Amino acid sequence: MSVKPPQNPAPAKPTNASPVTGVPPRRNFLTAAAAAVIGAIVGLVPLVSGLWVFADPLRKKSAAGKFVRVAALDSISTQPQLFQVIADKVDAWNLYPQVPIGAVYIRRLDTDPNQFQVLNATCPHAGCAVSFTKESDKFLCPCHNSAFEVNGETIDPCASPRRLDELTWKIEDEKGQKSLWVEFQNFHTGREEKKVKA
Amino acid sequence: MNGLMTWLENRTGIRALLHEALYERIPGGSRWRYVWGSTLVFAFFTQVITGLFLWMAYSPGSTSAWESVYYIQHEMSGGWFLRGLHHFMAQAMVVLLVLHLMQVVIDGAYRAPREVNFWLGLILMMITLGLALTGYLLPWDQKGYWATIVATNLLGLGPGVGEEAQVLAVGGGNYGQLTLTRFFALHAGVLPVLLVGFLVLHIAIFRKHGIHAVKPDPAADTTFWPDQVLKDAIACLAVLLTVIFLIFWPAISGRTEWSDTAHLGAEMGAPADSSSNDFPPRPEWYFLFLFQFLKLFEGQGEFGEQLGAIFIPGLLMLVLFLMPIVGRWKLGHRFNVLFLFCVLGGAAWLTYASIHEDTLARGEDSTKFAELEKQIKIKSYDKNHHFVDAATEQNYAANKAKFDAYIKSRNYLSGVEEAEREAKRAVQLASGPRKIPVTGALSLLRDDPMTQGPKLFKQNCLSCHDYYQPPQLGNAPPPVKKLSEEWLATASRMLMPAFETVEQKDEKGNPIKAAVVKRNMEGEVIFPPSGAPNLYGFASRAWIAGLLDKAKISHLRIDKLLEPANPAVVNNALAFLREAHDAIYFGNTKHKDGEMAGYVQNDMTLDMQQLEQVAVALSAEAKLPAQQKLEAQPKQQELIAAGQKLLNSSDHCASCHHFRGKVDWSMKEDTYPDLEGYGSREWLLEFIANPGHARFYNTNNDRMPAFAGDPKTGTPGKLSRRELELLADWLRGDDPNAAK
Repeated sequence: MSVKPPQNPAPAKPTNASPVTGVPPRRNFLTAAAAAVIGAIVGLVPLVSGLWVFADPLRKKSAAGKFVRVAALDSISTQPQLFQVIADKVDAWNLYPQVPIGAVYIRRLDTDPNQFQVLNATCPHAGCAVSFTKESDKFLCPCHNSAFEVNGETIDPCASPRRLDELTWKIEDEKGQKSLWVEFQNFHTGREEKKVKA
Repeated sequence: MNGLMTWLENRTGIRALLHEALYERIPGGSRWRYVWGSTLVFAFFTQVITGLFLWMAYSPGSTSAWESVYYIQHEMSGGWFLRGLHHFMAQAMVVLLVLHLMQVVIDGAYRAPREVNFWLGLILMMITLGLALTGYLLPWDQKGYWATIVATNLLGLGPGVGEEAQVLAVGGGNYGQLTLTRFFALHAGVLPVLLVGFLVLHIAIFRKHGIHAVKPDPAADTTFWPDQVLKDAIACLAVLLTVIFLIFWPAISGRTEWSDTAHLGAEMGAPADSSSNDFPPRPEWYFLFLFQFLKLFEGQGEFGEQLGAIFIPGLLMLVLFLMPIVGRWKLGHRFNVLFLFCVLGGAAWLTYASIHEDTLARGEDSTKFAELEKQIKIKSYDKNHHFVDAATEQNYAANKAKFDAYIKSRNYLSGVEEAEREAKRAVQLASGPRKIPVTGALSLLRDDPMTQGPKLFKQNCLSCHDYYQPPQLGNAPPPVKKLSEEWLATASRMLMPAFETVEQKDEKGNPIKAAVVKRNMEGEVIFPPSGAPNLYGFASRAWIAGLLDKAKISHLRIDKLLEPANPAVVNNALAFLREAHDAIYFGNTKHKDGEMAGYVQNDMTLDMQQLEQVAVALSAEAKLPAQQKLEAQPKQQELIAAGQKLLNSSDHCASCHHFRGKVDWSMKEDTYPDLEGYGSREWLLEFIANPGHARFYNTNNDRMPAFAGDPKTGTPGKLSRRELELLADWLRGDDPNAAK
């Protein structure tokens, strides 16, 4: 069988009917609508199911802040000191037992030796790690011009929209050894409001 | 809207483009037979979309690939559906490819001027198959791992640079990180880009020549939009619905609950384990025919393998490529169609044969081969043995091949079952509170007593000990072994009679030495014991109660395997081969007539209530996890206390055994095992480590070897400390992953 060139060249009639078939517009419209709807469905199923999975992290609930033992009480002075927070870390499918998950500055209050202040060492502006400089008695951020007082208050002009994030603490007595436990949390940065991160 | 369209039109010429794309002429009107190409494009774009989203959670690495796929399937909401779409659409694509090819060949659409497009189509087919092959490895589960090993080894068979090609594909000599990164780059980068490139050419050339209408219908011509688009869309919808149906198949077929979504969609095996020796590798179903085809060349050396794996499949591809040229001759088209049908028919038949070969044991009555199994056992004792009567011999010869096929299939099926069990366990462990360590999910399985215990038992204990739920006593047939139980139970053992040399006289009256079967005073043949206690439920209440049962402690049932045909062969060992069944405790050991057996059978003065108390109290020593709740009840505590008194009484157990108090084991001379902590983890560990230790059987140990090394001399043991722990934990049913 030989191959024939395409037959019936398109008649270019100015009409409402299909340029080729002459099918009335109403039937043509129904066909077109059905084709479009079904085409959209088959295209959307994979796309939506993909987007749904992609959005999974938004649906994951944040783990409630857990108290973690951070320091022996007698190792805490009235100067802010950096302590690592060591705890189990879940990273998607992996669990890393007892690894550093963050850092905090702890100091004993001058006014009451039984009271403490625990500050998350992350700058609330853009998430860099602040460091305490003894010479100036300030927390300084290495990224932008954020500086904080010993008690965590901002020193104007400050890039950070809020003071350093304070964390809840408690004292636990284990066989006579007293230690400070901290409810370690991270917060969204850049905002005035202190909002816990998932 | 119109203004925007005009703006865009002036800058891009989009109207013309759209018109060109949508108003292609279809001579003779739209038809269902033209839908295959469009469904393939649809399938491919579904793969691109779902693949990209899977990529966002997938991590190619030997300790993260399985783990991330597990995370997608089990922890991300909707992940099972996305993965299912990708998995089954890949299979649908292979089917659609074949349909498209068939339509093109049958319609003769490969002929001038469409030859180049036909070749482009074949290239697209090979790229698609390459995508299927590379994608199969990515979950890094047992199936993908072993199938890839086989596939790449076959690649290594290739003449000339085969081995180099294999090393390049695998990324070295071993399968691991680089295999995954390479396969992933091929699967998600190289092959899709190639496919898109060739697809653009394929469609462009297709548009140039227009649709190949076989017999232009009297019907009027139409355009691609909307008539053919509607038909294409409906066909795509049908493909999609089929894929969704397959995703939900486990629930539709009742294998899983509808709510158990993580078990819908694509299967997921246990993490790849290069050390496993019981996994039966098979390629995905659409490559099964090649797998089966290769079997035809078994035993024909390297060239035979090359022929089956490379040359003949290559030749078939070549014929496919030559179709447009062959089609020029008068009978060429007929030959092409016939050839295609032969290849597809052959592939279908090979696929069926492969599945049939693997599954023929399913539903097969295992007792059908019982007689043959016996004969084979006997034969394995004496290779030159000829069966007594010709009929038996003939039956053996005729059915041996069938039996071998049956055994092969049975091994395959139990291998699959074992793999499924392991896959389930891996998920159970990964979703447990310990999640997955950085060393990967495989290390969870390797350190899991429930997974390793049975394997260690199989390798080290099963040659003597049994492990199966004991049947009722009496002359019941041995327990029917379901496939699922076959991984452990051996309910029968061969017994050989003992022999002794005696002085006899030959026909002429000269003294000669002869070996005769040893008999006891009653003239019964003596069989040396060959098997140790059944350890199913060791140290549980039921197990100990059975040990203290006079009917059970030394029970042994022996079945004859072969009747001696005539008195002349009466001293032929084979004539006396027996099979031991139901030796749950000491029946098949030296302890059969030992002190404990004698005590239980004749001298024990405990009444029924006291017996129960002793069994309960001794079992409580084991602190078995399965009994812990029960034992905590106050009433049970009373029972245990009463039993402990009997255990500690010098009128009963403690007249021989140690039960409470400090002992210097180096001073112990008796051979009665310690009952303090009987069956506990510590007791069991020490016992398996060295049953001949003074604390246990001392000098009365019946053949059980010490499994631990000797720390004093530094000699390595049969088992490491950790292996001993895994074995002991499994025997005690101590699942570290169970909620405590």
